[in-house]
Amino acid sequence: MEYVSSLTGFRFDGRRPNEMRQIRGEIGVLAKADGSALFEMGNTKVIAAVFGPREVQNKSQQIDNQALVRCEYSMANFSTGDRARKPKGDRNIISYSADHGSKYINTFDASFSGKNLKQIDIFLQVLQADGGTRSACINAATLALADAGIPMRDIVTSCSAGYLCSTPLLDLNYVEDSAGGPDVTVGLLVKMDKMTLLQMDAKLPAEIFTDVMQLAIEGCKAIASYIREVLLENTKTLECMRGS
Amino acid sequence: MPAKTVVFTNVRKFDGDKFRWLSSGEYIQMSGRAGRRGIDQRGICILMVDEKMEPSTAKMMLKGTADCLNSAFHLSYNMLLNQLRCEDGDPEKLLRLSFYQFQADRALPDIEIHDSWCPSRRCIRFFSSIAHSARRASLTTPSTAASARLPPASRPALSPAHHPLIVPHPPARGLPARLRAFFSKQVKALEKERDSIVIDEEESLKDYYNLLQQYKSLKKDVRDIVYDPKYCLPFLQPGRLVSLLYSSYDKKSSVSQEQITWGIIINFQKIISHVEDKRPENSQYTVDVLTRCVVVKEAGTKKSVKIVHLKEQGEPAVISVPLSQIDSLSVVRIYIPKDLLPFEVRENTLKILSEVYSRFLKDGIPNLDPEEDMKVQSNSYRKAVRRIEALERLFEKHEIRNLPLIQQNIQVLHDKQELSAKIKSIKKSLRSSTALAFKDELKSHKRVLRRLGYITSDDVVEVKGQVACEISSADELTLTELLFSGIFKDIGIEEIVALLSCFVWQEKLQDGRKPREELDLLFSQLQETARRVSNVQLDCKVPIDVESTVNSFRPDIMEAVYAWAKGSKFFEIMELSSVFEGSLIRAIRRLEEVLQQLTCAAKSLGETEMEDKFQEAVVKIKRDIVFAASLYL
Amino acid sequence: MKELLISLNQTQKVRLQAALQHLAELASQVSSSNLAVTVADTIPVNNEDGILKGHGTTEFDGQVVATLCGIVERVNKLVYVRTLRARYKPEVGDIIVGRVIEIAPKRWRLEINFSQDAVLMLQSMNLPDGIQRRRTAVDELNMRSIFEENDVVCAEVRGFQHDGSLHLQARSQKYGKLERGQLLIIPAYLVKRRKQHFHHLEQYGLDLILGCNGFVWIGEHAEPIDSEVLEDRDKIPKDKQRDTPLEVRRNICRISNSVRLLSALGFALSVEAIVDTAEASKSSNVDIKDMLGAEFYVQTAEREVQRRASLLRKKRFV
Repeated sequence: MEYVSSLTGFRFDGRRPNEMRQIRGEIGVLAKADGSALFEMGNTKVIAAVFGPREVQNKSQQIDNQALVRCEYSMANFSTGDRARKPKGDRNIISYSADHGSKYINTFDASFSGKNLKQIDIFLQVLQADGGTRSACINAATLALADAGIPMRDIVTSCSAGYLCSTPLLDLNYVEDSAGGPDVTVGLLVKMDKMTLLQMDAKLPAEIFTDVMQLAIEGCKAIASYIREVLLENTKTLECMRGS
Repeated sequence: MPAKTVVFTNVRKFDGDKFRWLSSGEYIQMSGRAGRRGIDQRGICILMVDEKMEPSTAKMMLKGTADCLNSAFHLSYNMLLNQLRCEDGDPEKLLRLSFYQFQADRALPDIEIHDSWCPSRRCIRFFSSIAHSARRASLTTPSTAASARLPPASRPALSPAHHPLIVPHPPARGLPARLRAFFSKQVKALEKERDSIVIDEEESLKDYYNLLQQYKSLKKDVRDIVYDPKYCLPFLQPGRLVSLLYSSYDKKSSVSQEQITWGIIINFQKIISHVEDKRPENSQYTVDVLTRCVVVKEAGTKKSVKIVHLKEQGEPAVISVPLSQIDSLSVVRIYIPKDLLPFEVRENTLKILSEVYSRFLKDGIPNLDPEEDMKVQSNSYRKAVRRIEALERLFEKHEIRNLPLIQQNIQVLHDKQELSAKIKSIKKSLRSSTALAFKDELKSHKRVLRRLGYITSDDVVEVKGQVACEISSADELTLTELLFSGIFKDIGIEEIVALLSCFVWQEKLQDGRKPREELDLLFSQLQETARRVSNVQLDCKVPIDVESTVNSFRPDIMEAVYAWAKGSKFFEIMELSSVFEGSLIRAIRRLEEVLQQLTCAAKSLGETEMEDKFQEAVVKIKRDIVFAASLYL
Repeated sequence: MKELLISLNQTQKVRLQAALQHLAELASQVSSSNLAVTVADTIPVNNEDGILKGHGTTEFDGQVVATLCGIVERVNKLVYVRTLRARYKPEVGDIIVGRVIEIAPKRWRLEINFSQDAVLMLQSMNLPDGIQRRRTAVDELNMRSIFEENDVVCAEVRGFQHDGSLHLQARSQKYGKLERGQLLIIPAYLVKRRKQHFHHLEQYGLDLILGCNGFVWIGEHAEPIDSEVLEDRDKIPKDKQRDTPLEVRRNICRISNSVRLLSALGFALSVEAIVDTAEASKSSNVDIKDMLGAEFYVQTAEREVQRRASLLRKKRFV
């Protein structure tokens, strides 16, 4: 199947190979949460809610002298093409949740893991899935955490890239994702230039892998600058509304 | 720890200054531990006296009262900030309820009106004298209120100049409400009186009165210049006639006036004053004058001699008068006999005096002219004389001069002015009395805090203020400024400790060694900050002395503490400085306190690095003998 | 604006946009020295030495980097980031309003919108009979008679415990259980620290407590209780205590709606602003329930624009 048109070089949805889908992020969408965000990458829509830092709810889960990060990821029944049933029992989902949580522990400021026993809860809900849900979740969670005012060392962004028709493609959608080609997802700490997530399924030769990974990193950086802008804009608006 | 018996082996002690007797407070303190509660029936105190002791001293020591407790309350910035931090923290209320205020209120008997709380005799006399002055005005009806208040019986004649109700002295701070009400009633009464005294042509009269006052003061100036010992001493020869000022008490008009009488100089003496003023011109002189006097026997056993007019009844006596009481020296000198003890001799001399007086009665006895005879050559004298002449001419021209009742009106005006003066002073003391002890300090402290940015103009505590709230063992302003200048960021722990030692060391060491370069640099930064803070305080009218405040930070133990923080032993650091061991230990302990407070301050700032540094510093100095809880275990 | 879902028609949208535009302009005129940063932004400090890094900052590669989104503040050499939407950051001496969530031995635990629960010790609370004495075991057993779960309590921050949780005290007559009113939860950054947080609105007969943690209490005015009066009050059975009159309840609702409105618009809360909004609603005969409607929303925004503009003008002339 021609995922990349040989004539025009465009993809299915009219994008170039190194073009990302349109991203949109909105902060403060939920009233009750400490921090919340809605992140869209093309048709993928994810909503994230953060609660905390707050008192540890379940003392048995508490690890000594460290803050507890809990992450819950779920896909709505209506998010995929077919209306799925019982999404909660899915093994993927549990592993996703665990992974997400671990991403963030490294980013939280040192002042957190002290004698203060706190708990931070991150809830992710996929409203519409069209490929790249994992990246969208990570990005949404970053926005929500920043909105909640939790000190973080850096912005975590994530983007996926693939390799189809001998071209590295950035930001795969569902159709491209289910084509069976490799799908590299990268999670990056932008300023510190460190990677927190690197995941791939299928096989790729090493050099091509390097290229694809580079492409994904570029995508992450672009998303990071967008996220930064959104946060800055939000801060400025809040401050000017608050008045002197 | 109580004991059954207490033995004093000595009744004298050395208190650092001199060898003195034990004071009663100390005795009470030390002997108080004799007798264990619940075990002994009584405690025994033995005093070994090995030298001669006056019975009065012993009585004072054994039966005296304890040292009285005086409040040493002072308003500190830390206290003020902590009060402002809470919503219902009211610094003024704190001051009003403080022990210091209580003691100040108790010290009110200074005001000399202790028996005027209820309408006493004095009070009644005061009001009656007002009524009197009102009556004497006699041009309009005196206020009915005054006469209504006058009690029927006692009307002792007391001139307004001698009002028994003396105005309170300024030290009265915070009068209780009753007193304040009393004073304001007084003020109202006085004002009513004053307004009821109406005089014709008051304006021009006031003018004349002012001129009169000027004239009097100029004359006084002239007198002072002329009768300076420098000029008049050569003329105080025995036998010279001299006119004296004396105050006589006129029963009829109940006025005390200055009158002039004549006398003969016998001798003069210099008073040896106890003041350490070495200049001979300023020493005081008294002159022995023979004149007519009256011996008055007052209540008690004292006799006093009062001068009266030559013509009046009395006996001739030699009386010592100070130089200031001499009005003028005359040209005339008469021959006086050598021995003046016998009564007749004195009587005769006085008779000669009265002869001379009557002979010169027409023109008055000629006086020594200051310029020609006494050779007074000063410029100020000439100026004053010219001004007097000018004034005299003005007097001639003044229109009121010829009014019939001029003297009386002048007198009434004088009384009115006095009443106004009294009202003013009572009002002033009322104002100062409603003030709190520390009210001005409170205002100026708040101004300083606002200026330095510790509180906003609405008295909401800012970040700097939060930090200063934590610090109470050292000078909070200087230390907070130092903290915010980032000086603690880059230096090592031992240097931090050394720098902070300047805050806790308050003694003056005579030959303190200068610390090494880097420490000295830090110390000079500290001094700079302290100077800046003190200057701000001075601007805001806090009464401090900049230099002495800056010099109160001493670098004497910087070296020793630096070595201690590095890990030296105690005897090693003792060699570095020549202070008492106890003082050094106390300083290091206070240092540890300051470090703990700084840790809290750094935590509230969010500076984790500094917080860790301070904690580490505490660990480094808190060891060994300095922090040993007890030396015996 | 997330809490009130207001459907504005076209003109209202336009007006609102214009008002927000004005506000932005005014804000930029007022102070442009404060920099807004996001996470991982470098804070420009011009290579000064001895910079103290306060809350919300960290060091990376020799530079000062922000860890929060907010506004950079500087005090001498201290640099810190002031956040907006974060949880409440307590200071000693703050007045807060909280809800009891647990009764623990000798203390109550209150929820106050902080990362941990605050603790109110039994000793830090006045006993109902007002006597100052040691709390005995009987007092401990009777803790429930003072506060129960889900009671709303007003207290003052006394300090921090070693594990970072808050220590409260409620020893004055003003503090204690709050009854007969409404508790509103608003973002904590909208309540500025002022000299006074207790307000008695006389014209409405209400008490307004602006807790620094973002919990706002609006209730019927309660006189500070004397201990003698308390005995009489206990004798009156609960149901015979008089109900809050209707007028006072209306006022409570009006004031609380103005608080909701102002917090939805994101304006800083102050007594004057709240009372102004309530007065404006009364004078323009807006019904209480319409206060949260679209029209009044836009009007309030416009009014705020005018108020700030006039403040700015006053400042310029002074």
